[in-house]
Amino acid sequence: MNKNWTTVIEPKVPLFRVPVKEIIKYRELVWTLVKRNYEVQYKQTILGPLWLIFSLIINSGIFSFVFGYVGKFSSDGTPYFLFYMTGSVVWDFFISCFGSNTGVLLENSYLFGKVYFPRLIMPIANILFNAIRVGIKFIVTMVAWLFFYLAGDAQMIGAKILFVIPIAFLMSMMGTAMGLIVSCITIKYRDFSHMVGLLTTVMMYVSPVIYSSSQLPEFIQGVVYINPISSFVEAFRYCVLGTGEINVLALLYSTIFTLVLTMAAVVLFNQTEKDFIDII
Amino acid sequence: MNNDVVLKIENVGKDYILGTVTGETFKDALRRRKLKSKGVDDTLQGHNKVFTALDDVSLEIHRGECVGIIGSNGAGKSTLLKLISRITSPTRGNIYIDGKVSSMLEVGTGFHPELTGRENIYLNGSILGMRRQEIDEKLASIIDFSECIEFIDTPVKRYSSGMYVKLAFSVAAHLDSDIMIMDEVLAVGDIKFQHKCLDKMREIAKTEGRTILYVSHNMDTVHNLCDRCIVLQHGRLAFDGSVDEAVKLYNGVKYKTETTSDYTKYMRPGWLQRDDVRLTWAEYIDKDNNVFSDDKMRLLFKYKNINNVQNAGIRVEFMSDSDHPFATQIFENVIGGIAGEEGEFEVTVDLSMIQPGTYKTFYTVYVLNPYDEGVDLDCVRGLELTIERNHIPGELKWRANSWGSIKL
Repeated sequence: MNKNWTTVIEPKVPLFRVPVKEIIKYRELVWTLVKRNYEVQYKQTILGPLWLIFSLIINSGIFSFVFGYVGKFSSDGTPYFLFYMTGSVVWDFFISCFGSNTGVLLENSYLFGKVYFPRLIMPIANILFNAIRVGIKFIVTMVAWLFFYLAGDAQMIGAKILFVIPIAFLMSMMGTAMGLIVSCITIKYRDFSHMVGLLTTVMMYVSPVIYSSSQLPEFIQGVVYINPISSFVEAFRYCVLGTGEINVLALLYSTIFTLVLTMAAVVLFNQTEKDFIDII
Repeated sequence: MNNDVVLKIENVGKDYILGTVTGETFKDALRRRKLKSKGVDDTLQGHNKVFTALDDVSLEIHRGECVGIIGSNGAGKSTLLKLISRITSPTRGNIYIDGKVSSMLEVGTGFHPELTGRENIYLNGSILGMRRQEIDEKLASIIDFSECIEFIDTPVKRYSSGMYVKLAFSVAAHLDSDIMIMDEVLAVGDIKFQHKCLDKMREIAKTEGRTILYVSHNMDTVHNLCDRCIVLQHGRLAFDGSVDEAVKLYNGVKYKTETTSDYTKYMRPGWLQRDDVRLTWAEYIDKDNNVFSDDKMRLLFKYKNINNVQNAGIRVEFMSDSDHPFATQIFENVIGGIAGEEGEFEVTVDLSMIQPGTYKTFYTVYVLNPYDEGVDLDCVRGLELTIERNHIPGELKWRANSWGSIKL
């Protein structure tokens, strides 16, 4: 009577389970979806991904003008343009991982309602697509850095730039985890989709994306570090530009926060994905 | 022998919650929780009734079998398929699967309008579980089957709807897996292409020893494709066996003769909301065939009350060949009684205005709601009848094709 079944479908699924094997089996689908996202986004455009570069340059320019030139914010001695460019690149990675996953279940319900594949494929494809997008922006940032370096306004980068990778990884994890949690809750309570915009605004302004935390009074600094994204942004900038500082305690807090949040997101996602299609 | 089972379904059930789950806001949920903690059994709870779409279904399907699934709308066919293809999970019971399952519940799942036909083949194929290499190999054959070769590098948003579904079906038809779940709606396009689709399905079914689950309302195709058939009725397994028997049960033929009809096992249509009363028997009194030459048709009905019923009436509805209703006679207050009670009554239908011909009938039990609208409690396909009258010399011969079936 004992038989090796390939699949057993049960009413209950374990709380914490990442179907790694299945995801590996479907790895080609991940690539196909990334390619689809890319193609869909730049179909019928002449400039294609060049738009990424324009938006980055224009954003950084506006930030430099408003906060740097007009507002006279401190940037720890880094040229404003470079300061805001690194800030918006790293922020972009976080926010696009968050934003693209907040609706992952609702937006793809037309797929999920008709065919089975591990549902986590979708968020994974989203992360990858964003990683490529932000990767291009990062390269542009490095070109900008080279320009300022040759002009003598920026420091030489060191080996610490390698730490950019784990930082980016953690940020994407945090963004995705937050996105998945919102995605799961919005299935029942659409209220949360209205919260997303508000939350991202708050998170951005209560983090050193557009200012350096060193200029803040001690008390406010503490408040800023409660925002788990703050220490990542700072650490990222430190690794790239060598300016500012790393707050080890805050970094540790953010890392633990990220890991706990990711676990929570996976548990919630597992429990939701199995029959959300009935509710939607 | 046991090793041959590729799909085992054990006491599977699925409940849906009816009511306001979808539209509810956070505030509602909080309020409900508050009321609950106060011990108030609020009226909101009434909204959330549980609807059992599938109950206690057990099945074993062996390798290479081609199983048809039939049942009226709402019998639970789609729910069963959704459970097997892992789109939603069962409320009770387990499902064991050996091998790879492909579900073709819809054509063109995941097609993106901006992408070209070729890109969509890759996208759709990967979503359905094909490997890239596999798609590469089959690409030529897919494009050929779809008859869309000239347009394959055009975005599908510019396709005609026919081309779109043809391309979509072609991808689905080239899937390669151990267990295939197919829905009849897959046969798409014009008649010629539909036949091509069905032929392709047959080819998949008959060769290569694959296991197939096929859902359909079309008994001919079930006959053609399947060698075993299950019938679902109100979420339960009503029959599992040969296709002939299943189709007979589904059509209600088995329990019917020319002058009598047994409705105890008749499958009620899915739209029927109430089950307060069930007709169990209908019979032409004192007749040994269904040919009527006088104007009176005497009918005997037997029924059983499931709930208390008061003043229920019955409608005898006449249909022409094309199932188009053209006349109905109403008999008021013929059924009444408490739950569990059985009874019988007799009615006499006046056929005098209906012209000679062969007609189908429906018997519908109804009650009036406060607005004098009828609420149907039971509906069954009735006995057929043929009306014959002797021609009276000098009278105009009736032409039913042009003038209808009723002479006023």
